[in-house]
Amino acid sequence: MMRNMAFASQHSEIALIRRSQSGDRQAFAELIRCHQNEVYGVALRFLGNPEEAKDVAQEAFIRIYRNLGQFRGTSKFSTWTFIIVRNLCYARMRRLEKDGFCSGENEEGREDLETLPEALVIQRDTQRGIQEALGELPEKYRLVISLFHFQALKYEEIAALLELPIGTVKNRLFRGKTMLRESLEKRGIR
Amino acid sequence: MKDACREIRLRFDETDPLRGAHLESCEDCVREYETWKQLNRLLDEMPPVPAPDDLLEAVLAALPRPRPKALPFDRLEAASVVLGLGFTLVAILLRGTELPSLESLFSQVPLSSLSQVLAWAAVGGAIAYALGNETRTLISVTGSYEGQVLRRKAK
Ligand SMILES: [Zn+2]
Repeated sequence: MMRNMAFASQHSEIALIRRSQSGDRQAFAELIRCHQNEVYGVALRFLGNPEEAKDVAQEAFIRIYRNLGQFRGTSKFSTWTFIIVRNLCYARMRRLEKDGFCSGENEEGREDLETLPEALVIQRDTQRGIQEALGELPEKYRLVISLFHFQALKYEEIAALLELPIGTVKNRLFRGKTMLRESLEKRGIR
Repeated sequence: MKDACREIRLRFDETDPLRGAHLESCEDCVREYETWKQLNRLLDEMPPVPAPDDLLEAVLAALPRPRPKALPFDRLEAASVVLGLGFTLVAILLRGTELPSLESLFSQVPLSSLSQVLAWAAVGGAIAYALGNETRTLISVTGSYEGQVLRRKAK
């Protein structure tokens, strides 16, 4: 059943991509609707700022539209789009750094938590605590944890996205979560 | 920590049948696995962050307009010039012959052959340019209408 549904959605995605490739904007709108949460989510995990993430997500979809002709279907469409998002994020981070903004970490090694959209929706203390503990983790660990748990990416997808060996991804996930757990225990969250 | 334990713990997030064998014999890892699963539960309960509501609309508004297949905008002027030159050529060929229609049109004003040629070239160019503009307007009107339909459907 699940496999049938996955097959059906994959099948209709290919149809949407083909139609978008021939200039059907309605089909592309449908593609955006299917992928906007993950594209925005990945940008947010890289940049840690909702405004910048929205900007990059918009830029990414325009680039995806322009380059749809180059998508051959040899990789998953989401993997292909994530690479575009990642490249835009790296470019944005370089620009922000040049302009004197901190990307991810500042002197204390923590992120301005108020800029995270989670801060708006989190009412529960536990979740606020987890968010804070995540914010205190070094960037490389937080990114892998976020991509794995919040974006539901597989090891292979994270490895491709970050251009790291799978072993390194697993190590960072393990190290990061071990640190996160210690930090949560100190906060009385378990 | 034993190497075997570390190796197993590194794979706590995998779905792997091999894990079961070590977990049956190592109480440390069983405890560790329980707290690991609890951490995963906590992380999975974190509220999702959906894309902003206006992202779709912003993307659609910023997409490049589809290019008209018939006559690209920047070539309209070139087409007008070519047509104007065509008219000029016709006028030059007709210069010697006595065409009543040509004569009657310009009979009110006495025109030399050269000014007749220029006049016809100007008329030709103007007609071509006007036709081009008409096409341009038509294309942009249908284009923006399509955009509106898309944006309405997106809501
Ligand atoms: Zn063990």
